[in-house]
Amino acid sequence: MEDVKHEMKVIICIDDNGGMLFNSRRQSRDRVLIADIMNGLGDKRIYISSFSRLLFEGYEGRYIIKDDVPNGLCRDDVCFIENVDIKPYVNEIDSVTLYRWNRVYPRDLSFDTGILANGFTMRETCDFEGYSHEKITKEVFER
Amino acid sequence: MKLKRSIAFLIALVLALSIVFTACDTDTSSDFGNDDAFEDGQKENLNKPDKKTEKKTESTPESETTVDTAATPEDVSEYSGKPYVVLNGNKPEFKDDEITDKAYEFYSKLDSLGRCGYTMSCVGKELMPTEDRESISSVKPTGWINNKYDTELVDGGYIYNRCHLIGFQLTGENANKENLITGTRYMNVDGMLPFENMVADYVKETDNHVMYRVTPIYVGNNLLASGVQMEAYSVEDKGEGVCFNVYVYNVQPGIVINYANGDNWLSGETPPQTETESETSWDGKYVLNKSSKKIHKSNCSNAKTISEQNRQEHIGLLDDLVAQGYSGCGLCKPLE
Repeated sequence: MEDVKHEMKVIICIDDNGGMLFNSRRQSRDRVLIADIMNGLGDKRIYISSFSRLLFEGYEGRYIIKDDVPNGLCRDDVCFIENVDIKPYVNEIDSVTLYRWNRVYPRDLSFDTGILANGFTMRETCDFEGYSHEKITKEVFER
Repeated sequence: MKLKRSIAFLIALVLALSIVFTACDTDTSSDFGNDDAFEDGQKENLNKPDKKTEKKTESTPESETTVDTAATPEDVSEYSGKPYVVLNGNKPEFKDDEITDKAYEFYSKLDSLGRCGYTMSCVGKELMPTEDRESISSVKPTGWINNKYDTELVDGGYIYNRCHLIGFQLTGENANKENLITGTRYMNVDGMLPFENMVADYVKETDNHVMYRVTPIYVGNNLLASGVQMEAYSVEDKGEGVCFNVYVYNVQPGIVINYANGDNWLSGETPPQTETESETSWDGKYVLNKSSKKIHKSNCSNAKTISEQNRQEHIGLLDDLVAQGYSGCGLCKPLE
């Protein structure tokens, strides 16, 4: 039997209820948050779906469009998830970075924060001011 | 393991494609229907509970929230645990010639009962407040019979808020009586605020504009709205950023509300208005003494002594009467 691999790193934005999307639209966006993601990448490139391309304008060459993200990613690959339920991939995820808006928005697709109770530990947290959000909280969970 | 991966891949692919295709369906302006229902500033006799509301259940992952849907506010069924219902597939009903990128705000005149009508705005950064909100306690919207409950039942204790139709964070309106209705704490915070936040933060981030309309829904001559319809559509990106059409219930879980006058009481308890007490319960109307310039609640014992010659009934707000020199009766305290 093939071993379960804990490989990829995922980045997700959520509201106070874990919400990600409403009516197929992202709940919110912030250019400072995107800059924080890109600053943390170093020389790496980030995998995103075409749904997220708009957020990464100005960072061309530093992202890779992959519409079935996070499927098939390898060790240490980093992906930004907006419109996919990652529950089916939880055993393949090595690290989850949550950006919390500290706001409540309508939602019909959510991230189940309960999966973090299954072997993840928060290694880092910090708050910063966004462009359009008073306080964004970044939390990094690792296995 | 390979089989599990394949299944997971297929599920994720189908989900991702369905979301992407829906998200790309942004050319909704041409689909927007007739708006005749809004032209008189009111919607009446709506919100009849019936069976047309259906649950959208095609989603499969547990992290997808089941959302109740209905075609129009008339089709919405009774509250069943979710603060809002999606209307018309989340497509707002702005006419093409109503959509503009020039910021403005509009508030309907109060109707003959003193009730708010629809409010509409092209929300832009240029309308957003630059100062803190001022007091709005001078406004007594219709149906304002506020009672205090256990804070475990109602956040903050009081069932009602003076509820902005267009939220303060969007257009900076303070004590505008054409923009404030009696709304439950639940409707204000759990129902309307998330949608306001979505619009406000989108506008701040993008400098774009959002067409925004909030319509209170009254049944007949009720003084308390049954709920509000909220519609929004981001202009510059043709709804790609913000696009919704929802009905938010004006309910408070655990509390029964009489929408005729706004009265309320704990679920399971006896309503304050019973057959034998009907003489002393208040129906939300007023009686004026034209001679003494006093305002009485209709059930006030002092009101019964007013002669026919000096007696006049009044429904609605009291601001204009106060401006004409009227004051409140010391017994029934209609201005408090």
